[in-house]
Amino acid sequence: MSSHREAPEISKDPVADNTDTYAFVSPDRPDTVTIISNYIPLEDPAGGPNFFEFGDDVLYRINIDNTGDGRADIAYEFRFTTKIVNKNTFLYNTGPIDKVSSPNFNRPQTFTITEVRGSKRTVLGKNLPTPPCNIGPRSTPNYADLANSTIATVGSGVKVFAGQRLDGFYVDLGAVFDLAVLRPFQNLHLLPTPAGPPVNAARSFNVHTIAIQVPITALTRNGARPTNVADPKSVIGVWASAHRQKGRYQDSDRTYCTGPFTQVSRLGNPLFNEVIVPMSKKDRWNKVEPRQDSEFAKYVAQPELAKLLPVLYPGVFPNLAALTKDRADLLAILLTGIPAGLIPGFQNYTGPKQGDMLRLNVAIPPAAKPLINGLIDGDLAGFPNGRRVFDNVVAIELRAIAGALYPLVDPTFTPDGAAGILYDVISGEKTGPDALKGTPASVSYLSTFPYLDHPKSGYDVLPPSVAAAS
Amino acid sequence: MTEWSRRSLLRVSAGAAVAVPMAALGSTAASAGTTAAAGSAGQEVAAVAVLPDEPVMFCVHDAQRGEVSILHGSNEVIVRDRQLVARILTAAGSART
Repeated sequence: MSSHREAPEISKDPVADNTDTYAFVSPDRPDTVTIISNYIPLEDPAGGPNFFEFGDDVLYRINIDNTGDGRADIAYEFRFTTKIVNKNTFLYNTGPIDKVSSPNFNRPQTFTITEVRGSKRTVLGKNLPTPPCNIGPRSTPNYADLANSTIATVGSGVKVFAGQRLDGFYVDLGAVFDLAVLRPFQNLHLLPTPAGPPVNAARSFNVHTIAIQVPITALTRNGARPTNVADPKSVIGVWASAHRQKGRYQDSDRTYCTGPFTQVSRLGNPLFNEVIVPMSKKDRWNKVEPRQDSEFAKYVAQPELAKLLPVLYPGVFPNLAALTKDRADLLAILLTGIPAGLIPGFQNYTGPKQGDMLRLNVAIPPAAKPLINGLIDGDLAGFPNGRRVFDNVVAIELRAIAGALYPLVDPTFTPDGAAGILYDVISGEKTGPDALKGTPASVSYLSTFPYLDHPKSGYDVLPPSVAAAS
Repeated sequence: MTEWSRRSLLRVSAGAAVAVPMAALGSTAASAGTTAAAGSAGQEVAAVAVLPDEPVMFCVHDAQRGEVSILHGSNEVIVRDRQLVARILTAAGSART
């Protein structure tokens, strides 16, 4: 998945497991950037009575590098506090929750947001509410209103939300990890299977989202709102991270944590740790910062998956099989940004310092008619220029790894035909708004902040096995 | 990282919950013929002007170098004291001869 359970250690610590990070110029407020980081992979909506929540013992951060050195120049930190209202019941709620301050909400969680600029720390908001999980029509009626009531504006025009959302990421997980089956070509696989429809494995699962919307002028190096795409100051690097205190003590009646916070999870580009970094290095990757990513560059330059595709699909990727040079295209896309001059009207280069970050050129306005395949289909506002909630990142990265973008750095290279048509999930694709054309029927989004849709309720969602059979 | 003295480590850790209780450490160390006994550690605690209001933990992650990592609040300090490490290992029942 993008980064759901992507490394051995963090897969055992869901509340700190960063599943997806997004950064894009807000379509309805183009003078702002929206940054979203999701946690807790694959939340079954019916997972009560102890429904999902953020970790009170986790420090969550959204990091922005506006100088290209792989270090955070600006960070937004989030700390959560959970209370039990009625200590004499096992229930998550003792009646309908019609507002977040309802006494029926037995386990309310609030949060503090702190802005960090260098050594200056500014608390932007305290005791900000989070909505309950979406339980069902009796417990959480009017969920949209309930959740929307928790969207807050803090500091100088920073909009913030923290709470449960429907996972907007989509992937045919069952296929891709079954020895890299790509459903359009499963009959061409080394171990062929009959044709069958692809499945969005993340459908109907929820996540926990931290979302902020910040004026562009608060994020750029010089405090300006750039209009020149070629201006180096128009590009910001973004990643999210989760941190735990070094010491944890647990005995029969208490648990406490102490010591400095140390990073346990991070995420910039989707799938970086998942399919680029070898298993033995994944936990290490989660503990270091982007400025240290040159140690992982060799895995980008010679990606394992690019070597596997020609083996698993004999005869389908002959040109990719013959491509033995270091992958300058992937090194640019994932570790430095794409320099000016390769794609007309576009650059998101942050300099030679390698680091895995989403790189967003904030001078590029939101697309009037977004294309989910982003830059590959000519939509300059889409991935890998930052990442929007609906971007088809699995297909984009699969095509990139298969060599679809290599001609940018070597015009003599001809991508294999398959590289240009690789896709992952299209079953039951939407026919509605243009913005969602091509996304699977099982995902949906909002047109306004926080853009990820309201979560599915436990009462309304069928378990995946039942849903598949019905 | 700040270097703390062995004395300050004893003061802080004796006054709070630690991974290896210093009272036990003191008595074990005393029987092993090393320095501070439980009584004197208690006196040192009484002399500390401000006792920590949060737990203090320590971890011997490199016994060969005689290093003890002390975690308190959101801070970590490293103490290098081979004698102290020897006492801790003795108290933990895992000292090497």
